[in-house]
Amino acid sequence: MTGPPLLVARSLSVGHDRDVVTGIDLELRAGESWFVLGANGSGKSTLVATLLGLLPPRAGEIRVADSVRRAVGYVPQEPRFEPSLPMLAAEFVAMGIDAGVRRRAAKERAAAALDAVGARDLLDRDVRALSTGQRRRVAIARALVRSPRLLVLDEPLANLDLRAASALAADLEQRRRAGLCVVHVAHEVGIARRLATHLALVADGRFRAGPAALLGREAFAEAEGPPP
Amino acid sequence: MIAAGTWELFGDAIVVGALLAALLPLLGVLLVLRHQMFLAASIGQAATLGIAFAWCIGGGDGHGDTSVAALAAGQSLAMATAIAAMRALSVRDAAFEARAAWTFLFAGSASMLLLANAPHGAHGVQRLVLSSVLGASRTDVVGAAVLLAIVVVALSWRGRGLLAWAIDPPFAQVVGTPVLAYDLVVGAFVGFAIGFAIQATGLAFTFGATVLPVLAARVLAASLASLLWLAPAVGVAAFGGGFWFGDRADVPPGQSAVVVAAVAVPLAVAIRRVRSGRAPSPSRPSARPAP
Repeated sequence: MTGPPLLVARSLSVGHDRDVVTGIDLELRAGESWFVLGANGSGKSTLVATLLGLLPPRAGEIRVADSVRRAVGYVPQEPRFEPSLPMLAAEFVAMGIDAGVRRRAAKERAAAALDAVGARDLLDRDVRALSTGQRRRVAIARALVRSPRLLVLDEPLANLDLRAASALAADLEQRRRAGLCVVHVAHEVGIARRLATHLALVADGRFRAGPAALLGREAFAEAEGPPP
Repeated sequence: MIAAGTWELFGDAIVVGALLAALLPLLGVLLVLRHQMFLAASIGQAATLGIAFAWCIGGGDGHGDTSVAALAAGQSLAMATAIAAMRALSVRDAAFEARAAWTFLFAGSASMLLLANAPHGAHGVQRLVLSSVLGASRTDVVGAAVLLAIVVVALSWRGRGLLAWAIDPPFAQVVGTPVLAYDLVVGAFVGFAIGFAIQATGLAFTFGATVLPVLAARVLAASLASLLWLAPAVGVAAFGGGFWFGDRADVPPGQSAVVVAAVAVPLAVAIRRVRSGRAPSPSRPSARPAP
């Protein structure tokens, strides 16, 4: 799928107090499935946090299409759940809904988002009593409830059982075909081989990106690293 | 029933106490969500330091009467403390808890030192720290009502955004919530409201009414929505019970209300145990996720 870019990064350098990854040039478009691959600590999450505006770029620029600014879904690597107060999954998911939507409508949208990740039965459960995998599905539903045009997932399949991971992957692929741009941050390349239309490789502070078909097997092998 | 003549004498104080007993637990929910339960105490000490400073440089008579300058100084320090704390959590500054403790200790001690040699100065500070609800005025009634109305409107209008900001600032920022503006506005409001409550009712009642009803209500509430009405309900009930007891036993009603609210916490735990003993339903939620 082509069209104007949703997000463009040019000559970008990212990092907290020093450059962690440099030379980033990137264009994200509707209908693309990006996998940002690299070893643990390589700077993948820092890159994504910068693209999302959570960290200022150390150099370069990021442009985001106006139509996307309020239509971004984000699933952090470790979504924050409040352990000391009761909170229903419906309330957690509804956090992603803008003001102005009435409570009943918000709950219906939360139920639909939970349904999309196979977790409708969690709607009225206290999030504190959920397993790690269930919590991750609830966090993904919170991102989906906004009907995003750009969805960023940091290690989305971590802690999911096989069935839930498979259902989520199928749902994301369906949404991508419908025009959603999905950015996965991952360090395992198995799922990327099946779903990626584009790859971004982060290694030793360097960045390389392009269509998965162009980068090919070498890129996956590089992302996997040397055999043990 | 309260003793005859109590309403005529202390009607304003009763209304202010009830309004603050409904308002402060709502702020308490926010502070618990932001892991800043002790912030109310730090804000209170900061407000006290501001007032003491104003008295020290001549903004009041040091006798416990608060001039406009003293009120402004107290509110300014309270608001600055709250804004700094809100901002610290949004940017994941791990030192915010240490700073809250530092503020509590420094402001608490410095306010006493500032006025240690002033006539009635130390007494004035002690009045702020320990005073009961009986000093509240008609102006305090209006102030408390306005603050409560603002919180109710804000929760109805921006409840989900506030929740996202409180629990998960990075997520809130990504979905378009102006986190910095929330830090400033909510921090300023929390600081102002707690500073106001301290000047109207004293630190003990303010801190107690902010935290204890939330601790009791969270044990019984099944959802965040139910917590938002249950916590103020517990606060108002504790204030009513405390005032009645204070009136009957001729002891300070503010402190009585705090003791009643404190007793409500283990009482809520006992009620929950009885309820879960009757119904073998869902297991008690734990802070850690199940494997």
